[in-house]
Amino acid sequence: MENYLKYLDPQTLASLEGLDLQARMVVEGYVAGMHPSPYQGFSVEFAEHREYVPGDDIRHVDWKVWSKTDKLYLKQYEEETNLLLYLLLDTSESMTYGSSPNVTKLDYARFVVASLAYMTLQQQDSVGLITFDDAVRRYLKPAGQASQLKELLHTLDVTPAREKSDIGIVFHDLAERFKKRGVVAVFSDLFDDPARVLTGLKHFRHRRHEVIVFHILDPAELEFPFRSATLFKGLEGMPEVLTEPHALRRAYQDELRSFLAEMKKGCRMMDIDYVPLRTDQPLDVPLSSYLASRAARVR
Amino acid sequence: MVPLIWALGFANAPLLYGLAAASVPILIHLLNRRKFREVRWAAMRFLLAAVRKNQRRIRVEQWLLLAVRTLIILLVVTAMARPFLESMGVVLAGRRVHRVLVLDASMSMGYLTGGVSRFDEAKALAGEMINGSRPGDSVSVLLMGKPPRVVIRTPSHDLKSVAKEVADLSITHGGTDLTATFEALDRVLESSTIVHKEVVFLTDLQAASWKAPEAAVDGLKRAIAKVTARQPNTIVIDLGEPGGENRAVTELRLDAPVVTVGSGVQLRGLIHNHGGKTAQGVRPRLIVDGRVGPAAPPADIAPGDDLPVAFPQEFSTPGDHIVQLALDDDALPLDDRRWLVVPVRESLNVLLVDGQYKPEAYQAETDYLAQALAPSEVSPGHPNAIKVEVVSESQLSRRDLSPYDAVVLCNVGLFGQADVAALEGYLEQGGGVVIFGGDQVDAENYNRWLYQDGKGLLPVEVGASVGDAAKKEGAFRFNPLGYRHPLIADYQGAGGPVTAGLTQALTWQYLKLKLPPKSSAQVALAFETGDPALIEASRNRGTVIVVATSADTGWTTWPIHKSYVPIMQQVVLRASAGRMHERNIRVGQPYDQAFPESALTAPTTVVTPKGLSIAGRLRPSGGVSQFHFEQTDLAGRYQVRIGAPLGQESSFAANPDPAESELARLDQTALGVAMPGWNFLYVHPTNWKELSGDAASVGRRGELHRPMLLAMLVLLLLESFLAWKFGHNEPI
Repeated sequence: MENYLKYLDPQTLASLEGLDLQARMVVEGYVAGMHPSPYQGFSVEFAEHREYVPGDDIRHVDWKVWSKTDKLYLKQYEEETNLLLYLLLDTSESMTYGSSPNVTKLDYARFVVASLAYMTLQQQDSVGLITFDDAVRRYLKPAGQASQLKELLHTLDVTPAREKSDIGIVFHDLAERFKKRGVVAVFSDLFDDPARVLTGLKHFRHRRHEVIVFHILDPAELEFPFRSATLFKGLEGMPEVLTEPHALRRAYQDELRSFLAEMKKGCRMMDIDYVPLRTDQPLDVPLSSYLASRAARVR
Repeated sequence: MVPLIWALGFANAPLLYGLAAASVPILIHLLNRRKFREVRWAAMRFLLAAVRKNQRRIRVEQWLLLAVRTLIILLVVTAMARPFLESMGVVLAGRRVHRVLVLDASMSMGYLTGGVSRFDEAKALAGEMINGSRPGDSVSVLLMGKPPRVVIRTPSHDLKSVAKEVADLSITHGGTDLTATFEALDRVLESSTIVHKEVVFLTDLQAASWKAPEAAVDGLKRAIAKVTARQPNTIVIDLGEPGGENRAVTELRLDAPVVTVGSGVQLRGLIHNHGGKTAQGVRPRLIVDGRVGPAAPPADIAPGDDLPVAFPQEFSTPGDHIVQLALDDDALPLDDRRWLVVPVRESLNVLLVDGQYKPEAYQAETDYLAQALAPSEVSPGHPNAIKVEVVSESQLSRRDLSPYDAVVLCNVGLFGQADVAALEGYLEQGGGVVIFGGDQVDAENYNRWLYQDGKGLLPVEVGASVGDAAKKEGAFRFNPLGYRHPLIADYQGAGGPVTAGLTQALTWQYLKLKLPPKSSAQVALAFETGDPALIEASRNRGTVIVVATSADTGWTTWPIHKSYVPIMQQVVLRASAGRMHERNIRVGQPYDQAFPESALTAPTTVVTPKGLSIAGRLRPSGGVSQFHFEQTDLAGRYQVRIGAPLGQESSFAANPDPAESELARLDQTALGVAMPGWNFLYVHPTNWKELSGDAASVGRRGELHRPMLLAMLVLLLLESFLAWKFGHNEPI
């Protein structure tokens, strides 16, 4: 239990509790018919009053208002549909990089995944977890039971970092597997061919999934703060490079920037929410970003 | 004009070893390549892309930075070695210079203006020039005097030591020897390999210092030509000023050639006013053996006039007495006093050598002479100043002559080699030799041994005798030649009855003495025939006096005339004077004194007027021990101490050249005339400062360390800029 708790950083959750979670988690048309929500009608929230017009269902008349004002008003409700959230976690070797004193990208992703899963399950929605590198490694089917969290956290904890990632193929594979429409949240550094990654994402969109990409990078990868001569040992089978980092800093950053720009642009073109994350950022940032993104979708 | 060849020189060449430091940036670069840290890296694809695109640029940047840093170190080290450009063969400012400072150290440079002497001014200016020299320059120092002194010959780069050496220089009290100075200058210039030479004369341009004597003009021209051939830039800095008042004691002498105890003598002095105004209230005073003696009454001296003074003096003890004639100090105090060393004798010892010795009274050749020199009847309390000893001809060669002040050879027939050697040695010691004629004189022997074709001690060639004493016919009288010679000068202006004592003397026979051409011998008295009767000549340090007729009445009636006694006494005194004259020399002249041969090993010390003790040596020279001393550049009394076995102490005095007291100066034009063929730049000290300022700014042009340091600064800025540009110092 101790292990699980570390993903549920109370501080992070405390910053979340002030948010109106339910109001922003309305997902249109996502409550799968074959998956009726056990909480149907219960989680319906009052939204506003509307004057009665003939033909309206009188079951929705607010009699309390009538008793006070002698006018017929209908209670209107915002219907909350059940959300199906697919959490896609990249566990390739590149995700195990973490510059001191930051946690590795993988650890950071785990925190966010766990938090989102917990949050989602608390809202009685379904959540699933898929870990992958060059292929799908673990597939935890989406479920909404309370036990799902335990299962999910366990899966997260034991997921080892594996070989190099091939995000394009994995995404195509998963897009075919996800039968029900839902929200696909990707947690990855996306260190792959941008075109292939975007094609994979496009496949999700083609299947009418909502996609949100959490692009996780280490601050060192962004800032490249190395000064003295350094031997860079490539992960995922990349070669070694001995160089004077200060001389290459600008060129490296240019390369990275164009990559990020391409990703961002590609995502925007496909109406995918793109959330860049740094592993030194507080955990509420990705969650806020996620919720803001969801809220925007709902409206 | 652009120099054809440039050479790079370094003032601090050993610092160039520091160039090895230029390898430091390269080593750091190489070491850095070996020392690196390892990082696992995920975002490799971007790094690889950056490397692929920038590898070439990075390498160029690295080499560029490395080159700049290495160049900075090279420049710093090279600049510290103080490089300069030197052109060969073309005159251009800004090169290494061999500067010869020639300081006029003649007495006139002691002239005080505002308490500072011109010589001190010259030293200060020389010091400034030395301190103002650029690194790489070298300096030699020459003292212009008589004789000149090369203070630093080999060009010295150690400017501090040179400056100290110059500060320690002291003025001489003598004049200058221009020819010797230029010859010394030529030797100094010859000793340097530096192409660019500069000679700076610091002088008051006193006319007496800058005019060579007539006889030396040719030699001076040659010396100037030699110096000019070395193509130095010559600058004459004029430290003198027109005008200037100066009184000087120009003479101090005795009226007697030899002084004996108790004999009254006159000390005569001369004061000259060299200034343009009347010198008022001049009070010359005599100082004898350190005690202030009588002072002459105050007198005014008109410009250019002399004031003669005379002081009667009697010395009561034998030995050397120091007499000084002094004035109150004026602007040139060095010539306001004059010294005279007076060796006072108990009596004079005279050896009479008789060629015809007979025991009967007035039969011997020397009887009249002995009586004339040392009368047997004297007044009580006044012993004879002259003591005579008579020996026969045969005893001459066995006698040690050194105790005698004069040796008189009367009618000596023949001389041998030993006699001649003894007499020559004796003359070398300053002794006097008097030779009388007579019937025994063998002209051939005299000419062979004594005359030696002009090389011997006899100043005249002896011919056949004139007249016949046996017949006593056709007597010859003396011609006093106007009484000009000091031997008979006492008769000048005397009345007829007095001069008759000389002119009425009759001579029946005499030796015909023939003076060789260009002889320096002086005829004091002649016969009516024109043939010399009395001849005086210098020989070595002594005096030779020849009398053509006999010392007794054999050939002449002179011994029975009144003039015989005083003139014979004068002859002996003047013959003896050689030992006294040598005690008083001119400043800068070497001092020589002869001592007996036995004194050769004795330790010798000279105490100078400044109280400095200088060790000397005696050297064997022609039967005597010769003492030679050259450091006589100060006026005053010198003491010569000869230790055991001789155990003797004597003094001599050096006095300045009276010509040095004359402050008349040469101007630029007159200097050009006086120094034919000499190219110089005439500069007044006030103009010198400007000139040296210009020279210094010009001089800096040849130096490279300033531009190098500037270039280094530029490179430092460039390095910072490049490092920033290449990402070294980019803020993160």
